[in-house]
Amino acid sequence: MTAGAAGQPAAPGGRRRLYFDNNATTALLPAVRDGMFEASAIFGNPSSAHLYGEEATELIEAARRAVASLLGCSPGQVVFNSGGSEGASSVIFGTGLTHRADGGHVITSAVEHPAVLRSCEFLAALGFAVTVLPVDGSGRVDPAALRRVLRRDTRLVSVMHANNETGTVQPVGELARIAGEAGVTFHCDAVQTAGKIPIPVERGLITISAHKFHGPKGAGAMVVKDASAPLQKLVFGGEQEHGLRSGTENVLGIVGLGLAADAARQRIGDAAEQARRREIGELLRAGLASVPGAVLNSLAGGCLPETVNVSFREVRGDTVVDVLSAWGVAASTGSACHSGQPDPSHVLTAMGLSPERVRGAVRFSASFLTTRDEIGHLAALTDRAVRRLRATAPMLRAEWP
Amino acid sequence: VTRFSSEIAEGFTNPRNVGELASPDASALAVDPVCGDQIRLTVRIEGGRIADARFRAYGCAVALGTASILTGWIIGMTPAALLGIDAEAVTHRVGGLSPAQSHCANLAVEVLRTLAADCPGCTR
Repeated sequence: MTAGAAGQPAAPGGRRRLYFDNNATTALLPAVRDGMFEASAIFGNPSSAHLYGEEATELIEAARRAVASLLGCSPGQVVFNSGGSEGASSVIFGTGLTHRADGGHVITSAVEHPAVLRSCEFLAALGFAVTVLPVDGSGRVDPAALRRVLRRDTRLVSVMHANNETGTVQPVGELARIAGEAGVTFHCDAVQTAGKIPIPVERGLITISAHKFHGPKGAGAMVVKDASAPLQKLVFGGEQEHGLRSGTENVLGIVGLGLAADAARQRIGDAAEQARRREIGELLRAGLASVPGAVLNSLAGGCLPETVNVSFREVRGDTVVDVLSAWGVAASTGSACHSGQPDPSHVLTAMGLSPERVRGAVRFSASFLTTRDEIGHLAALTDRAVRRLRATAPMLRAEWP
Repeated sequence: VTRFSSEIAEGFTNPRNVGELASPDASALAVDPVCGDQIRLTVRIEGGRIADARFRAYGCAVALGTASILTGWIIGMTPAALLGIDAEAVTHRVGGLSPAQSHCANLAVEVLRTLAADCPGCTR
């Protein structure tokens, strides 16, 4: 495999690769990879009461301090796990187990990740009442709507910080305050924002995943900033992670998470890096908006700058993604066609977008590694792909059923 | 692109015979009622054989690739021969389809049968 101009490996046929799917996963930072490799010499079980175990425990506690520093909590509030899906499931199933006898009410939003939505559906099947808050055209939850649906038996409010498809940032600070005032636990799925922006949840539960900010896959954390949260152990065995997550720790993954958290904290505090981040976002938006038939679904100002969701008129988003992939460009769509069955994005649908616009949507997600040059190439290739598909399309609506 | 055969990948990245003939001797449209994929074919017939073909398509990459391959395939055929093409033949011609992609072979067969029925002098 040959290296591309920006250090990316070349696609088959020698084409330069362009990676714009950072909301799916990010590249492991060399410093993280090197630190994990170095730590791999430490093989002790952290639960062992000897020097091998102590070495491993030291690695874990260093990572715990790094995650706590990134998320503004104490190290004792950090519970390591395998990532965002486990974190969300732990919070929601923990609520269900705690209240298995008296039941109750859970609130979430229509644009959550499936890890949250499917877990809430499971609680509903167990007899819990579940309220799904709607979003407006920009994908935001109205805090006033949360106030209206809170009940005396509400056990949990779970709303994500930023949406994985659109980058829309929710007012989680205000939502957490509203829930807290009602004595209800607040959960924030911060998988898309951890390592990018501060998470303004002063009281509640926060779940993150390392591989979304240049750490390894299979490592994440739940931050418990609410001692009264209805958490339960879901895996039984030892008393690891404050008794909340049994099983020998994924030491190398945790080391990688800690190193990625350290690097992310430095980026968040670096004004020049933040200015560059916004500039990259503006370039990405402008480049994609210039493509024929493009309609941006990620609104300026209310979204993570790295995420641009855009619909292209008269073409299918998944087809654009496939053409781009054949040309070495990685992007994504929340709307897919599996076995001929359309699977439209629940996020864009909840925002009230037309079925045509939902089907034409593509998500491009950059990272701090993305260069201006890469965005220029992306815009040119997307323009070429969309023009070619639009020329093919029989979208003469007047004469087609 | 490993999710697609090389034939399909070539078909949707560099589609051939895109468009519509101005005064076609026959035309056909097939629409997958489930996923909405569409293939439209227009052909010119000379001496009882298809002399030229164009396509338009909307849908997944496989539908586009299949449509592009169809146009090159049917040129030179008699309209009656179109009726002999089944989903298995389409699947073989396009280099193989996964179970998730196989609906495109059915869409191709439907558009070819509709086209054959629209050809002058076609005996069904």
